[in-house]
Amino acid sequence: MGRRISSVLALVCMMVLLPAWTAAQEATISGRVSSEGGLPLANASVFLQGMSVGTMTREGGTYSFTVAAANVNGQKVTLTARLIGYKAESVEITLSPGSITHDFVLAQNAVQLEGMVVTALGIEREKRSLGVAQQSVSAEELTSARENNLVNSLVGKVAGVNITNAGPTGGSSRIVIRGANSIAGNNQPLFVVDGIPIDNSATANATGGGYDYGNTAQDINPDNIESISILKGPNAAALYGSRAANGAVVITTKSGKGSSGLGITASQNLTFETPLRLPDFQNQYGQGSGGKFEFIDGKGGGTSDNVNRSWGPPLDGRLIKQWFSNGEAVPWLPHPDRVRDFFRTGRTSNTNAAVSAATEKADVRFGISNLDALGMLPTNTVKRLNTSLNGGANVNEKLNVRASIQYVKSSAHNRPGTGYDNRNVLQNVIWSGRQLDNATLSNYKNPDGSQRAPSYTTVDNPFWVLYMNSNDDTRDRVIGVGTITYKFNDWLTAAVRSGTDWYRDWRRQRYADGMIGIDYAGGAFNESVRFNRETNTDFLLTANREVTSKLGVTVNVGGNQRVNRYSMSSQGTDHLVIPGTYNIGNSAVTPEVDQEERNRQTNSLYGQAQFSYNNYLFVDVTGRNDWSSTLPAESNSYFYPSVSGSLVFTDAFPSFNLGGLLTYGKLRGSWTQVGNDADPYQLAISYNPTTPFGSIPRFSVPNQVPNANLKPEKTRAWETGLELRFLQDRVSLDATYYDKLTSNQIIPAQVSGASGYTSAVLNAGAVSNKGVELQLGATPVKTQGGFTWDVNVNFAKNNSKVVSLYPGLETVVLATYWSLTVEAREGEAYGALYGTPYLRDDQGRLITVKGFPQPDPQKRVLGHYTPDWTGGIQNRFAYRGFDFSFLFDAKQGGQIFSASNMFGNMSGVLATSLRGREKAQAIEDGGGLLVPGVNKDGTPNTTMVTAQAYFNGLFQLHEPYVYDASFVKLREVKLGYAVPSSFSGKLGISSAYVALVGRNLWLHTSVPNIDPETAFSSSNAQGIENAQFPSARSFGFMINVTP
Amino acid sequence: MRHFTISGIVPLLAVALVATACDSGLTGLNENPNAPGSVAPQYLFPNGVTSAVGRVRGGGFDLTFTSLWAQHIAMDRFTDEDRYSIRPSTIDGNWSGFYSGELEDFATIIEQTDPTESPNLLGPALVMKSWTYGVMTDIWGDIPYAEANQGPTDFTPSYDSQQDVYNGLFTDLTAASDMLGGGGAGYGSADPIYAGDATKWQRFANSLRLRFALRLVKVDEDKARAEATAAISAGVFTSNADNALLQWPGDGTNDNPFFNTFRTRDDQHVSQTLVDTLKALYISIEPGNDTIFDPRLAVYADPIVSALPAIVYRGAPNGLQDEDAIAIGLTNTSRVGAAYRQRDTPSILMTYSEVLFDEAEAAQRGWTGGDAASLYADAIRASMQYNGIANDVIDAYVASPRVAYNPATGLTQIALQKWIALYAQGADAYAEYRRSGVPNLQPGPAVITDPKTVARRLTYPLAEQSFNNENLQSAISAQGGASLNDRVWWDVP
Repeated sequence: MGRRISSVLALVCMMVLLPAWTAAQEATISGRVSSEGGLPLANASVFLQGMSVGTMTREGGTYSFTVAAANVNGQKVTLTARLIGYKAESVEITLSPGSITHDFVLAQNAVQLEGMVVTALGIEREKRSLGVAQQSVSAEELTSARENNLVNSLVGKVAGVNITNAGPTGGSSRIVIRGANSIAGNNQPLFVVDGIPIDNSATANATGGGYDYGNTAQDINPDNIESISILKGPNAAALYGSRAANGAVVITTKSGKGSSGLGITASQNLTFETPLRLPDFQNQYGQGSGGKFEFIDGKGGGTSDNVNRSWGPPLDGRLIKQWFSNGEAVPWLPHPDRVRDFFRTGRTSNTNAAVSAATEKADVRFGISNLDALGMLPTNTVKRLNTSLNGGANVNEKLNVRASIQYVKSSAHNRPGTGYDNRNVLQNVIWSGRQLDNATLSNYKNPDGSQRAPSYTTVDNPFWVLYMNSNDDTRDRVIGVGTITYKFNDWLTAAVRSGTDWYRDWRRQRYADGMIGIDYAGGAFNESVRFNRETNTDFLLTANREVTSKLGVTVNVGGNQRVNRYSMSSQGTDHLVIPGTYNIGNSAVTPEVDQEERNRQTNSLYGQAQFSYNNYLFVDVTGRNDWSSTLPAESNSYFYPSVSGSLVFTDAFPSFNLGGLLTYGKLRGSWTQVGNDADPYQLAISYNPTTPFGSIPRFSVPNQVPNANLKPEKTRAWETGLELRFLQDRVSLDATYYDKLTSNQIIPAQVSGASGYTSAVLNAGAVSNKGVELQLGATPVKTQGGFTWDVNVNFAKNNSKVVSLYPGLETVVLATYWSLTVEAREGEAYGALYGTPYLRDDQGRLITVKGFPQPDPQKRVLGHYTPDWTGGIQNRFAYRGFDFSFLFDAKQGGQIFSASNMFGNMSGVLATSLRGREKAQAIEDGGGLLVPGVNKDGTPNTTMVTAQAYFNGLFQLHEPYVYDASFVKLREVKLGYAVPSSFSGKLGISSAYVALVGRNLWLHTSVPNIDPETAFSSSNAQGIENAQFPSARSFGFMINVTP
Repeated sequence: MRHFTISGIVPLLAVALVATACDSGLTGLNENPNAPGSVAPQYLFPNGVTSAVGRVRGGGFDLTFTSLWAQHIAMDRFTDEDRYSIRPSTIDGNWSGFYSGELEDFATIIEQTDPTESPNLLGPALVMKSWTYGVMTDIWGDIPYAEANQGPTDFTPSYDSQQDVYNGLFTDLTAASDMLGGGGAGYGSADPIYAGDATKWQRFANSLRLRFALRLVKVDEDKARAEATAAISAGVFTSNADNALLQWPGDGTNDNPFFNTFRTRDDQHVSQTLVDTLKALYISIEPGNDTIFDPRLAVYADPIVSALPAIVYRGAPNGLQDEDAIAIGLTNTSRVGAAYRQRDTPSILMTYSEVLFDEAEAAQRGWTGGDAASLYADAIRASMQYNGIANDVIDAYVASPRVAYNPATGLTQIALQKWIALYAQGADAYAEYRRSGVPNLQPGPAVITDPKTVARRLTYPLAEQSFNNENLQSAISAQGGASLNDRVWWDVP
C-alpha cells in the first residue's frame, strides 16, 4: 500500500501528463467547452447519455475520453455537456472508431432547474429531487466583472439574498438571506468551503469609528471557486442543525478532476476606481460663524477661527487673513473640487494562474492568485495572495483520498477611518471651511514637526491624518481539508473528513505626536493579534439502494465534532515618551492591554433518508442532534428535524403540459425546525477586570444579567415552490413562498438601568419572516446566425415582523447613533429607526417657537432599514464570440439615517445648507428663512431665523435626516470578445478572451449626498451612516488566456 | 491487511465520534477563561468609588449639567444643555451608569458583607452609596431607591419619594457611622479615598449626614435640625486633612475628568456669574486697575488670552445661542484654572470647608451653641487654604467689609461663600443654590424654560419611558410634574 501511495504522490506532484492513447477500434471523443462569452469552462462534465462514459473538462475547457471498442458500433448516441450554472447542451453523434471532435458553447443559466447541485454537507444531488430552494452561482459570474469580496459578487444575482457593502476596498459586507431571523444574534449564513465551515466574522465598530477590517470570507479567491451553492434558508440547510437558521453558502473549489492531461489558464484583470458619488457642496460661503471670520491663531483668538464650519463671509474674493497667510489678508475664494481632488484614481490588479493535471487515477490542481489594489484614498493599499493545492487519487477501486489546502495572505495598509472619528479624513471634510485648498493643506507639517492645520481645536488637517498616522494589518490563513472515502460495495460508502480553518490576524495602528482632535501627546499606538481556529471532523456513511425498479432509497448517517478556539491579545498606549518609537516600553503612561479567549465545542449526529419513486417523486427526511458546550449541562442536547418533498408533475402526468408549452414542471415543499447557537459564557455572571487605578486592582459587576437556563434560538420554517420550463426551455421560472418564525430569541434585552443592569439575556420573543422569491430566465431571441439574448430576472420580497418580545419589553436596541436607536421593536419590521420627529399640532403642522421647528419629546419609528424588496435584471447578448452583458440591481424601500447630511448642514458645507442664505446670511441683509409652521397658539409663524441657527437647531431632530434608502445601480457591465483560435493560434495560444468590464457605473437614488448602500459594519446595526467613504465606480479590462 | 485496515478504520472513527457526542467534557469548556465568577469586596469597592466620582465630577455630568446650571461654568459653543435644551442621550447614559455602574458595585458589596464581621468593608460602601444617591435625588427628585439594584428579580423598580430617599440616607449614614471603627479589616490600600482609615470614613459619614440634613431646612426644619445636631455630635471633619478627595493617579488611564474633557476640547469656560461674583468680593481696589479680587479667582480661572501679558479675567455668559456664544471668541473669556484641570488634580467628594459652612448655618439658626461668625470665617479659611491661598491674604479677605460676617445677613453670606467654595462640585453648588436662592442666578437669554427661569431639576431619562414607564409615570404624577421648572421636594420657594 505504501508503494501505491508513493506512486500516486509521484503522479500528483510531478503532474505527469499521460498521453491519451487510442487503439484503432476505440473511439476518442474530444473537444472544448466554453461559455457564450468565450471563457473556457473547466470541470464541465461531458458524457454519453445512457452509457456511463464520460469525463470532465480540464482547466482550459478541453476534454477527451475514449469509448471501449466493444461499445463502438457506429450507433447514434447523445453527447451532453453540463456544468453548474449553465444550460446543458446535447448533440447527437455517430459513435464510430477513431476520433470525434465536438466543441460546446454553454449558455449561462441563472435559473437552473435540473442537473447536479451541491446541497448541505456537500452532498451532490439531482436538482429535481430537491424539495427546497437552492440556487447556484457559476465561476464565470464571480470573475467576469469581478469584486474582490466574494460576498459582493453575489449582489443582484440571487433572489432573496440581501447584501450591504460597507464601503472601501477590503471593507466588510453583510449578507442576509430571506431577512433577519435573530433579534440580536448572528443573521448571516454559514460559509462552507469543500465541506468545511469557515469563519466569516468581521471586525468593525457597529456605529463607526476606528477601521473596518472586512469580513473574513473575502479571503476566498473567486478564481479558485468552481461553484457556489446558496442554500436559501433553514429548510435547505437543515442538516447544519444549530447553524442552519440563516441558510448556507456552500463553496466548491476547483479541482484537477477530469480528463487526462494538463490544463493551464492565466488571467489578468485591471480596473480603475473613482468615487461614484461625493456630497454636493456649496461654494458660496467660507469658514466662520455669523458671516464673520478672521484667522489669528486658530484657537479662537481671531474671529471664529476655532470654528470648523462654513457660516463665514461670502467667497467673493474679498481679502481676509487666513490660516496659511501669516497674518496677511489674502483673497477668500472657493475650491469646489477640493474633496474630489483629495482622492486618487484607485487601481486594482488581479493576476491569476492555474495548472491542473489528471490521470485516470489521480488529479491535482495548483492555483495562485494575486490581488494588488491601490485604494482611492492616497496611501491605502490592499493586497491578497492566494495559493491553493487540490488533489485526489483513487488508491484502488474502493479507496479514494482527496485533500485540499489553501494559504491566504491578506494585508492592508492605511485603511480609511470610519464614522465620526478624527481618524476618518471624510470627517475633516464635513467639519471644514469651503475656502480650504489642498495646495495649502498639503503642507501639513510645521518646521518644528508639529501639525500645521487650519484650526487648532477639534479638527485635524486631513493630510496630517493621512501621512503621519498609519495602520497595517495582515492575516495569514490556512484552510485545509482531507477526506478518505471507502466504497464497501456498489451501494455502501463511508467517508471520513477532517478540516481546519485557521488564521492569525495581526493589526497595528500608529498615531504621530501632534493630533489635534485626539490627545495622543507623544504619539500613540496599538498592536493586536487574533488567532481563530475551527476544526471539524466528521464521518458520513451513505447507503444507496434501489428497492424495486421504481423505488430508490438513499440513507446518509453521519457525525461531526466542531471545536472553535479564538484568542486575542493587544497592547498599546495613548502617550509615548520619545515620539516615533512605537514600543510598549516607551509608553509614558500605564499601557493599555487586553486579552480574550473563547472556546466552544459542538458534537453532532445526523441522518438523512431520501426516497425516490420513478424519478419524479421524492421525499427527504433529515434529523440532527447537537450537543453544545455553550448551553446548560442539563439541557444542551437539541434535535433538529426536517422533511421535504418534490414532484416533477410533468413526468408524473405527461399529459399535463399546457398544450406543449410546458416542458418541465415541479412542485416542492418543505418543513423544518432548526437552531441558532448561543455564544459562550452567557450562563453565569463573571466579573470584568478593569484597568487598575494606579496600583489598585479593580473589578466591576457586569452590566448584563446572564441566563443560567439558556436555550438555542429556534427557527421553524416551511416553504413551497414551483419550478417551470416553457417553450423548449426558452423560459424558466422558479418561484418560492416561505414562512419562518424564530422564537426563543436570545435577547440581551435592555432593561431599566435602575435594576442595576443595563441588559439581561432572555430567551423570549419571536420574529417572523414571510416572503416570495422569483427567478425568471428567458431567451427572447436566439437566431440561427448565432445571436442570443438572455434575460435573467430575480426578485424577492420579504416581510419581517417582530412578533413578540419579553412581557413588558417593547423593544431591543440594536444600536444607538446620535440618539437615534436602531431597534427590534414589537409589532414593527426588524431594524426600526426610532428617533425624534418634528413637533406637530393635531393638524400635522410644524409647531415653531421663535421661528424654530421643535423636537417632539416623544420619539417614534421614522423608518426601517430592511428593504421592501430587492431585485436584479441581467441581460446578456452574444454573437459570434462577442458578448455584452449588464446587470441592474435595486433595493426598494427601507430607510437610512444620514448623519453626513445632518452634520454637513449643521456645518454649512453642503449645498442644501444654502437654504435661507441664497443671497445673504444675516436677516437684516435679506437672508434667513421662514419655517412654514404655526406658533403654539396656532397663529402662523412669522419669525425669520438665520440658516445657521436653523440647521444648528435641526441637530436635535432625526426626522429631517431619515431618508428613503431605495436605489437602483448599474452593477455590472461587460463587453467581451473571444479571440478566434485561428488568430490566437498564431500566437501560440489555444484560446484567449478579452473584455472591458465596469462595476457600479450608475446610481439612482433620492437620498442626497450619499450612496445609500452603506454601513459601518456587517453587524445588525444597519441603516445609519456618517462621513462615509465613497463607494467606487470601477472600470477596466480583463484578459483570460489558455496557452 | 489493507482491507482490514481501511474497513476497520472508518467504523472505528465513527464509533469514536458517536462516543464523544455525549455531553461529558462540554460543560467545563464553557467556564469563562477571561473573568472570574466571584470577587472580593476590595476589588469592587475601588471600581465603584472611581466610577461614581468620575461620573459626578466628570465631563458628562458636571460639565454638561450641574456646573453649568450652578453658573460656575458656561458653554462657549454647543450650548444645548446650557440653555436647558437637553440631548436625551446625555441623561440616559448618566442614569443607567449610576445604577448599573457604581451602585451595583456597592449593592453587591452590601449584600455580600456581614455587618458584624466586616463593618469596615460595609461602612464605606454605605457611605459611598449615600454620597451617590444624594447627588441623584437632588437632581432628579423621586428615584428608584429601595427597589433599585435588584435585577434580575426586579427589572422595573418603583420610585421612592425624595423624602423616603433622604430617610434612607440618614439611616444608612447613621448605621455606617456606628459600625465603622469596629473590628475586622478595612480596604487598606484598595481604598482610594482614605487608604482604609475607618475614623475618616466615620467622619465622612457624619459630614454627609450634615450636608443632607441642611438640604431639608425649608421643607422639614425639625428633621433637619435633629439630623444636623446628631451628625455634628457624632463627629464630622475636623480639618482639610479629613477632606474626601479622589486623588487621580494621572497615569494616562486614570486621569482627572476635567483634564480628560479639556485636553482636546475647549467648549467650557468659567461662567461670567462666578467671575463677576469673585470680582465683586475684592479685597481692595488699587490705582491703575490693579485690583485684588477674591484670591480664588486666579485659581478657579485662567487669565484671558487676548489680554496677555496683562492679567485679565472675564467670564462667559450662560445660556446663549450657539452662534452668539461662538461670536465672543475663546480668547476673550477665561478657561478653567490650570490647577483644576491637571492630569492628577483630585476630584472632591466633600470638604472640611463645606462642613464648617454647615456648622455656621446650624449655629446661625440657633441649633447649636456654636459661633456662626467664627465658623463662617473658618470655612472661608479652609476653602482658601485648600486652594493654596496664603494666610495673610486670607486674613485680609475675611476682614474686608464685603466678606466680614454680619448676623443680619449671615445666612445669605454663608450661602454665597459656600457656593463659591463648592467650585468643581457642581452637583452640590447647584443644590445649594436651589435651597438658598443665593446667588440670585439669572437665566441666560436663550434658555428654553418656559417661563424663562433657571432650571430647577434634570428631567428623567427617555430610557425609563421605554423600560420602566409605569413606575416613571406614577413618580411624575406623585411629584406634580417633573419638567425643568418643577421643584424637587426639599426645594421650597
